[in-house]
Amino acid sequence: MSKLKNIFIVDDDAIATFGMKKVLSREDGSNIIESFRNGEEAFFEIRNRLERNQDLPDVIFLDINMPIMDGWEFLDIFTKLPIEKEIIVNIVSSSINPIDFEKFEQFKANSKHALSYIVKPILKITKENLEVNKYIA
Amino acid sequence: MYSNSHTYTSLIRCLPTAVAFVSKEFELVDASNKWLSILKVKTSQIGKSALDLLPKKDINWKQILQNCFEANTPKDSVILKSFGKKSISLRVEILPWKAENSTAIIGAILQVEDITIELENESRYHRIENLLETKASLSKIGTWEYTLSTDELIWSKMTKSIFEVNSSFVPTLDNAINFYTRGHSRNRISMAVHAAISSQTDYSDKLLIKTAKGKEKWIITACKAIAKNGKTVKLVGTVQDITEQTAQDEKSKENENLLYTLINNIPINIYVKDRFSRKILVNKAETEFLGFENAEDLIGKTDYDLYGKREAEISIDEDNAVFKTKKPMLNKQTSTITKDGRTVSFLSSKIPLFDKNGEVEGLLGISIDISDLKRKENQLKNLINVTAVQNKKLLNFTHIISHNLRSHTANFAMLLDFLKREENQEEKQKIMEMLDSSSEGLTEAITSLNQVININSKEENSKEELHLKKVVEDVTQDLNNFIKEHKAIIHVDIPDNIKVVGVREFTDNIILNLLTNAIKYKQPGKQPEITIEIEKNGKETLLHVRDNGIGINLKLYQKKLFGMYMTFHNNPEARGIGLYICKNQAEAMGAEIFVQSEVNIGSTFSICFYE
Repeated sequence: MSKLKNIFIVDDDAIATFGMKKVLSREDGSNIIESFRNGEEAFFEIRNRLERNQDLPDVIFLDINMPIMDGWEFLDIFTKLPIEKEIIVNIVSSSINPIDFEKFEQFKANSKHALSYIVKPILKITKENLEVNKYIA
Repeated sequence: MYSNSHTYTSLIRCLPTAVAFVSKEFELVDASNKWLSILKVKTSQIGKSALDLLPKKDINWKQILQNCFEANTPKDSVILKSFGKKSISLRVEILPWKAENSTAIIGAILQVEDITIELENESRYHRIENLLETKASLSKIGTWEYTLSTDELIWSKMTKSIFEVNSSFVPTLDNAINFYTRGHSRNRISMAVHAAISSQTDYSDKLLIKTAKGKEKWIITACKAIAKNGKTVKLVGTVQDITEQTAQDEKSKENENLLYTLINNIPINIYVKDRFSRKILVNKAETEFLGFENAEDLIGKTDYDLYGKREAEISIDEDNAVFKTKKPMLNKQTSTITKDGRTVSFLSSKIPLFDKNGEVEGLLGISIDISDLKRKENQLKNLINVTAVQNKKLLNFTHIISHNLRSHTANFAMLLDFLKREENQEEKQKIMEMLDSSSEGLTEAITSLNQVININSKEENSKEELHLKKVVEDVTQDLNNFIKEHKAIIHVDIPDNIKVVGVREFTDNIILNLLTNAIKYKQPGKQPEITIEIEKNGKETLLHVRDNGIGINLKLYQKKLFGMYMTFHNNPEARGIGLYICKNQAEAMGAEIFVQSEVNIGSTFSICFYE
């Protein structure tokens, strides 16, 4: 972990966000972590940074079920933003509904970002969740 | 005998008949010119042997002449057929030649007669006779002849066979009349015969007889009187057995009647159209369907006279296709709007009718009213749709629940994992608090799920007549504290007499939810003001709950508003279950719930009750 990472957590559940932060700090305490209560808040932040040429997140942990703008709606408009770097998007959900898996596969196939699907609970974060695997990607 | 031979000879030559004289020595003594010419004998050959001069034709002239000379046969005759170039037929009669004043035979006289025409006539006569007999036996026509002068009645073979008497039976006028059955038939024939004799009145009548064998038969008996000098001399007539035809006629009449009854009473529209699509036959069902009383009034009409222009054109096109292709149109589904505005669905067939040359001369139309069937089919389709929707809903519901419960258990697992590792007491305390709140959330989720499940298992019969004003007043009474706490103003504008049919418990809960939401999502710094009013719209009664709250962006959330676990504000109290339950309760009692809203202006939620 040579470089400090910008990490976004997008989840309306305060407990889940608390847990996520705790797990992340255990792995590498020196990352910059910011949390958002729904997709809209996170999207506005990313768009603002893009416009002002500020640092974009390297990793996003994205919940699906959220008020105002859910994870899928966020992905839909986020993937259309003119972002050059490859961002790791970890979709974090307690849903094991096959329809959600299908949606994920569809987004993954059509996005230049590195998408993965993690089923809650998250007790541990692996290296793949934080770094783009240059060899496979 | 040989004296005056010259005179004699010239006399013989000039005879107008063809005659020749042959001596006992077979010498042709003399012959008339006619004889010579017919038999192609030259005058110079007179005096030669007749055996050489007579046509051979395998006839033993010597024997024949010998017989004549010896008076064995007083008169003999030989027929010569296809004689000479013209192939004529000749009859040669051989008579004994007797000496003057004596019985002694001195030779033979050979008289020749051309019988070609006679033979032809004879064979024609035979042919005609044969033909008549054949015809009589085929058509079962017998003949009879009655001669008045002799009182003689003659029956032909066929007549005898019709009356079933044997060939030796001798008919008389009396016994013939007695064959006719007593009553009408016998009276008719008696009078007819009398009239024929007395005034030459011909007759032809269909009458019933009883044969010699006791069998009843229908016959056509006909008679023609032949008169001489104004007086009837003969009656000739025919009798024809028509029992079979009569039976067939009766049978086909019966069949026709049966078919007619069937066609008229079958609940299927049947009609026949000619080549110009004009109706030439319609049954009762078709007549009634078209709104006519008498089938006759439809004859000659086309579809243009009976249907709207568009429908008629379609129908006529179908007719023409059948006429052109000579192939039937089978079981086509059509629908027609009747004069009284009903939509009727038909299963129609048009079958070409051919004349004896194989040309299409019209068509037979059969239409079966399948409206009921169609209605049932639609009902079934609807039921399938409803079931499919329900099924989908249920599946969706299951996934939502599973997801919701899983998100709580996931938090439990995570927090418990932290608790195990954590050593900091303060942090431990924090985790414990989170576990508590997670547990509360789970309990709440399960409670609301129970509520949802209960909605769909409520019995239909728990519906009752609800006095809307009273219901609303009761709910506002229950919410009194909450209303006061938020300083909300509630206007209830419902006439006393408004009543709807619904489930009391559900209606209470819906109004409670709508009121609470209206107050909860007030605009910051603005006093909540809520109006509850009624709108009557035919069979619909609408209850509006209008607020001046923050409003909802319906462009974004219209679809999700009544969904399960859908929230639209970052309000930590929002569970996303209230409106979901409201919608389910409304639907479960046959009502609907919908919303109109504008951000920063307010929302109006409406419940629509149907009569």
